[in-house]
Amino acid sequence: MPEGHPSTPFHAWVWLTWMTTLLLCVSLTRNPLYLVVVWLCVAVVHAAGGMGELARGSAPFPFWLSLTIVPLGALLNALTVHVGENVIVTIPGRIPLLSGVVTWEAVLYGATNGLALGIILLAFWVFNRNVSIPAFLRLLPRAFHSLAIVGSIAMTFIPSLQHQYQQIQEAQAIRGKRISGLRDQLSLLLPLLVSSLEYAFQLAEVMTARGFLVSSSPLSQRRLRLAFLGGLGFVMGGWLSRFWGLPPWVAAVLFWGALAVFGALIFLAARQAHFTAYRVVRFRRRDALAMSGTLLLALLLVLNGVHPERQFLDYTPYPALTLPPFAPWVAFLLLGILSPLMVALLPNHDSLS
Amino acid sequence: MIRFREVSFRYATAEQWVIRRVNFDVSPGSFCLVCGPSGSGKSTLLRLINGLVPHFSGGIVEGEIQVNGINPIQVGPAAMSRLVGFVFQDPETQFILDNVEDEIAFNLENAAIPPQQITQHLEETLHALGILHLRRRRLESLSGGEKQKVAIATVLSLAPSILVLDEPTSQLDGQSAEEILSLIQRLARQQKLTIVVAEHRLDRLLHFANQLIYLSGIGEPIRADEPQQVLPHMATVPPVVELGKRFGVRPLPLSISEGQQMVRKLGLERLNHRTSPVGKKQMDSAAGPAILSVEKVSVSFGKTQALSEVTLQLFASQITCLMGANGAGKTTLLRAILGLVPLTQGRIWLQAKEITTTPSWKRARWIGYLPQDPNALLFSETVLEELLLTLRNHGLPQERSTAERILEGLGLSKHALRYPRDLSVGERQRVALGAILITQPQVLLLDEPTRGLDEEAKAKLGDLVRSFRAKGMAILVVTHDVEFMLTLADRLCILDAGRLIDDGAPPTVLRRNQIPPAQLLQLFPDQEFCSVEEVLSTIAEAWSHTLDKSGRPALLAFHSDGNRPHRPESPPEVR
Repeated sequence: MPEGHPSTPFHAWVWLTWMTTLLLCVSLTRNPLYLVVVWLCVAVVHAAGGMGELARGSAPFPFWLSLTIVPLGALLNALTVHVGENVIVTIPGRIPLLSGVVTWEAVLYGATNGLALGIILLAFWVFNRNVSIPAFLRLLPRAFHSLAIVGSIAMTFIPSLQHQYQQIQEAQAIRGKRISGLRDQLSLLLPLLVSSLEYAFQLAEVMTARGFLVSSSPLSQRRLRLAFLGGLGFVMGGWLSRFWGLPPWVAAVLFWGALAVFGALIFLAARQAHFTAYRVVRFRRRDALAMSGTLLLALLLVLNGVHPERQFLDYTPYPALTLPPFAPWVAFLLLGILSPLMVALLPNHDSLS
Repeated sequence: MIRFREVSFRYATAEQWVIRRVNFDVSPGSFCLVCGPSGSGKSTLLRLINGLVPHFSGGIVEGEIQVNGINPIQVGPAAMSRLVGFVFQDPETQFILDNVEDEIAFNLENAAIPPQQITQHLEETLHALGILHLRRRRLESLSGGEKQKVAIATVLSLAPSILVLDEPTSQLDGQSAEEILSLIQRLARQQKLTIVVAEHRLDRLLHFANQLIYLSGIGEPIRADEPQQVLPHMATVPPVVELGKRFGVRPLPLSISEGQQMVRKLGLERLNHRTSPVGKKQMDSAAGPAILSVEKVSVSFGKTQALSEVTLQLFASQITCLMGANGAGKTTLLRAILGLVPLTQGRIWLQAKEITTTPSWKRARWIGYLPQDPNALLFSETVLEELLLTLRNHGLPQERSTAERILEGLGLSKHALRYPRDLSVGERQRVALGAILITQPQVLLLDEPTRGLDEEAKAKLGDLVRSFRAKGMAILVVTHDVEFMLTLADRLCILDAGRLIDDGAPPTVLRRNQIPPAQLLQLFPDQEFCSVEEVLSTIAEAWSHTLDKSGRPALLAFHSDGNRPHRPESPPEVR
């Protein structure tokens, strides 16, 4: 039985931790300077092509996509949020949502939100290219195998979408269409949607013919569905008991009952998921090393989250624009995002296995 | 093993039956070939075997189907997957993972095969298909043929007793198609599988088949029997069979060796050598000025040199075919001509105007380019709108009458208001052709235009291309289809590793470059026959007799057992 994946040097848990830390980071701060540092770190990891063969040939497409969201976010926020002291222009009249002042504060906040979204997109791209689908499936509990398969198939869409986009762009040129502005780009959306749906349909048919997600006996499937409904009934009952003013212990019993039913449901679903694993993936020392950098950062972010003043990550441009705070040591800690890359670049990292 | 009794199927919203009252049996270990024109219901028939129809597509099924004693309609495709391995047309859409080993193992993991056995299953399957060397390869690095082999390996890894292949070569280029057809032949010889395959290229598989199912059209009665019984009723057959039919030979020759035997028995192997008109045509055409000139064009992708100093001229009223192995740079040359890939060196001229730096969307006004997948060009709601869209893109007046005239010429008038993607493969291709021809380009570039077309659609396409030639267009066709090329080309060019290595009359160039020749060139190696009609007229001419009403040489008297004919002493007698 083979060990590990031939084309990725890190355990999937490393990338899961990395991804979770990034999501935590992006959700906790709107300081544009720190977000720029985070974006740069993720971009460097992406540009390095990830760390394995899986990620070879990192495309510029996600870079541009993640950066395109920044001006879009700024524009959308500036046109719809009319708060701030530094006014750029005023949209006259009574146009719903749009009329009012356009401020520099709204522009900056929108751009920051766009940057956060761009980071999430780019990070997902890196995750997708570094974690193979079987590794992704092993990350999830057995009970969610069906869900994981569906998710995995969805993951294959990202590269195919990019390929189809290029094909359609080229086809438009063959038909004499000049693609220059945003409006022209929008004309590609419908063909892209149609071809994506066709691809999805074909893939679904192939997977069905290959017997993916062969369900267990219809009887046990029915039992699982009934148990699920029973669990929902307990939750609903608990909620209604509070609504009707019944003693609190009634709701507590019902909620605990729901928890027990759902626990049993997951246990039974896991027993019914029939699949095996071809590769044995061991967690090695270099995985631990790569994980430690991101874990340290995650710890700092959690501490920041529970700190009553949240002093070192907080920033908002409202109501008046101020310079965002920037602590070099925070920026240094944010470099923890690069830890998988740094470990992969160690000259003798094989000895860490 | 497979039993259909009075089986009919129609889609829920349609009134017409796709297949109607079908009866046949396929015994274990048989090789069953399913053929018929596009849209005749072949795919539906195959999908009924594993229950994809109606479970995946919806629809109404009548009659009884048994596959190894199981009714696929009752148990569904997922449960049938261990019994029936199903391979689809397009290898691109059959994979989830990145590399060959993982893709096959993933299938076995999901079938809950114990991990210790997965390696064994995997290696046995790869070995059986002769692709053990691809085990560690990334799927995106494989050719179309290799991908389709991996798709076959994936389904065979679960050791099904029936292998169903739905036009497995229709989305492949010629060379990849050859690889797959060879593999199917080998599987039929070596494995004890029951194989059911729908395929347009009968010439390669016919002599392996012990059963032939012919669907003549949607809802029409089907014929299912031994090939010798079904072939006489088929409208389009491979040239060697067609010759046998025309000569009245029984049993019909199915392979080249049987065809050669027939030629020997009929005493046709020493026909007088005739000069092909092809070379002459080329000389005549080349006398005029070039419409398109490619001068020392080079293209690189990173460190890979895709084209090296290619020089080529295309002339008015001339069809030039371009052949070469996969990766030789044929498609790149077409794309370079249209400006879809940047040149590292060289210049391109359209008549007297240099267009090397002209953007693609402007070149498209004068150079029509039909890529391998015509679907990529279809965006609009209706066929008519598709043609008008091109005019709109080029800023030309959107004259409905012009579009309608072109649709009429393409035989698409009745489909003018239909959604283009709902049409058959051949019809979609003609819509895409219409969409690029409406600007009346001077040059037409066709990339593998016969991919996925049945014989009838291929013949229609050939007629169309010839009509474009008659209008003065300069045409460049990239193809692997030697039979099609011979019926069409005035001139043949060969591209090898990015270099243009030969250019001349098709049969001569074919011989010089040792390209596997067409069936007729194999039957008559000293001749330059391009069609069965040419063979018959040459025989008639040689014996100074005319053809009878059925196209048979009037004085050839054949015995039903295929004995050598004799030349009567009496004057010609036309029957």
